[in-house]
Amino acid sequence: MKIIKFYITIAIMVITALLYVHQHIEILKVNYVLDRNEKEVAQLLDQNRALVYNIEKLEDPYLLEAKLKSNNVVLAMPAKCQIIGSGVVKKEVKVASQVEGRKSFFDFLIPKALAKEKPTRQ
Amino acid sequence: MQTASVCSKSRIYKVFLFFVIIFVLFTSRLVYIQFISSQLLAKKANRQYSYPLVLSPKRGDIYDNNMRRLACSLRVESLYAIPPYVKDKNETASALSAILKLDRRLILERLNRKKSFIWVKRKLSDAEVEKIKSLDIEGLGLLKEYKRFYPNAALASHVLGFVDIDNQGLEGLELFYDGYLKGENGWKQVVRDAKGRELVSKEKRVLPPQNGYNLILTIDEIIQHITETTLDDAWRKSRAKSAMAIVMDPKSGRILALANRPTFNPNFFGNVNSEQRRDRAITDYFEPGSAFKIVTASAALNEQLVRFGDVFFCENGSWKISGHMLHDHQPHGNLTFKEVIEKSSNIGTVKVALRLKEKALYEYIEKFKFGTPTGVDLPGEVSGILRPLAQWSKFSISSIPMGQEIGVTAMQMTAALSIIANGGLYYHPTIAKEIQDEKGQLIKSFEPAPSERVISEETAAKMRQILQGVVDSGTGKMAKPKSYTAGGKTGTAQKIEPSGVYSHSKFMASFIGFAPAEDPQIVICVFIDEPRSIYYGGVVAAPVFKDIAEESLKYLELEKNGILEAKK
Repeated sequence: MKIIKFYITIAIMVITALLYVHQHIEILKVNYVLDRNEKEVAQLLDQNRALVYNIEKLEDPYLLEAKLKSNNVVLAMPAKCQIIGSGVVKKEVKVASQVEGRKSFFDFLIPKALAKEKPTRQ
Repeated sequence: MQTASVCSKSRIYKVFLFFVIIFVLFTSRLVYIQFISSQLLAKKANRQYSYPLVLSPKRGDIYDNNMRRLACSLRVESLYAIPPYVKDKNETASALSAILKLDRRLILERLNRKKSFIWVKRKLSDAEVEKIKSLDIEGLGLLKEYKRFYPNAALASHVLGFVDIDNQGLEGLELFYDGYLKGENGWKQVVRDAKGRELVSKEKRVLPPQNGYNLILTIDEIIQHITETTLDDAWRKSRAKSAMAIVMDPKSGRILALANRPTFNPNFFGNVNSEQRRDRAITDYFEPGSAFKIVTASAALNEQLVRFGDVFFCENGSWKISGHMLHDHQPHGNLTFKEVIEKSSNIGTVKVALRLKEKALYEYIEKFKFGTPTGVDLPGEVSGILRPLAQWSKFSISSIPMGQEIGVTAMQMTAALSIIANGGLYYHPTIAKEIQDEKGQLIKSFEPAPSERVISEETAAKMRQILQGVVDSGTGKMAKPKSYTAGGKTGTAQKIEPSGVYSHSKFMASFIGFAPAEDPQIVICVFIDEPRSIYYGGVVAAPVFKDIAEESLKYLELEKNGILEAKK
């Protein structure tokens, strides 16, 4: 019995030690992944800043003016809008009823395409 | 049999003894390593895989008043070498010299240094980095560092300034606000494995870097561009030595644009001479000539010593006073006080000044803040020249009122005219509006506040009326914008030769003005130094004012009506 207990104790200690070592190895592996991801994030952020900078360079007013000039584009100032009443009074418009065709027994069998009269102003 | 048994036992004891000796040696070595020299060995190991690393902060960005970026920092690669690991130094130096455009001997000398780390070249371009990477030479490495960039090239270069290789401000706002922009270094205790990979979980001490604060200016990128292109045209056409223009909001002292010619690109300041880099608007003083008459006229009006209708006889263009001759550029007979300024009569102005007398004139010159720096937030501002009253000669009363015997800067003239434009209050010129952290939180705000009242509102209104007359019917007709009213004053000041006499070929042509005349939104001062052939302020500088005023007011109107959206 005592020997069995001794062996069990040794086994538990060995397993615990192995788990401890395994944990540290996993931590190290995660470290490498974190390190790689951090570098990737830093690189992407740098790229983003560089692209934003490139856009800002393209928005340089001097450059834009030069491009407009080289393409013979002349910009006009926005014109002010004015709404002027025409003074014409709108009357009610009657919509003409649909023209009815001659009714026959077989009308329901024959498809029709009659044009509707357009509403006219009176 | 017994002898054989004794012999084998003795051999066993000898082998046993041998192993015991080995065991004792190993154990003693273990005890020595583990207990006696453990600290020393631990320190050695620590030095190899653990060391403090300085974390550089990102320098703050600079924005215009509509949050358009004018200066930023990006990370770029810098090339270093570990000389002991570089095998063929000659070949390496030759290869690097071709790519980096550096002297081969310089690179070789650095590679031969007895150091564990040397910089070969810092802050490389993308093309250089690609070529270096393709070389794949042992002992060379690339490190990332922040580099300053200015996306609009030469726009507002004198205002922004530039930084050195270590991102320290050297000129302009980069220098003035370096303390806010640079940030604070951080550091961390880095632990690396045998292959040089960082072990993040082993980092014990970390102090994150504090990135620099962002600076928001009063400068408007569009008005700055309008000012620069217009000034550039005039400077080139007149083949002048230099030119300056300032646009200011008179109701706050905020500077909307400041331009100098010649200029430079701060992205490449290394190849630029001091003539191009100088911010003449604050570092150069000059005799302002007739433009200074606004001070004399304002003083006389404010003291109620003159009225619009007062008549002055202008001696038909020549007048002897205090033993020397005073001339007008055009002969005049009787002129009203208003006409004296409109037609810029020197004789009329001196007669106005004689009513003021020296003491009162000197007091008003001081009130208009001449002879002292304006306090604008740019480095290197000079105070100009204003001799104390006790040092004035008998000729001073006939010189100073018309802008001679006094040295002023473009910034001082702009601030002085703003007093008239805004109703009589002096505002300190400012360029910085706010300081924010990288998240946009306000750290500091620079609110405009008038420092004192210089002239009454009534006097200011009368002066605006007179100066509008200068543009409508006086010497400044070429300054009149098409769509707006304006007022201002011309100046054509003779410069002094090295021998001390006034030159007949070198002039400072100027026009200082405001628009619209009834409620000035902007003050614009233009100075053209030594224009060739035509040199009158009303001909050379006034058209520059007209173009800047026209376009700037249209732009401000569009912005005010919400047609242009500011970038946020």
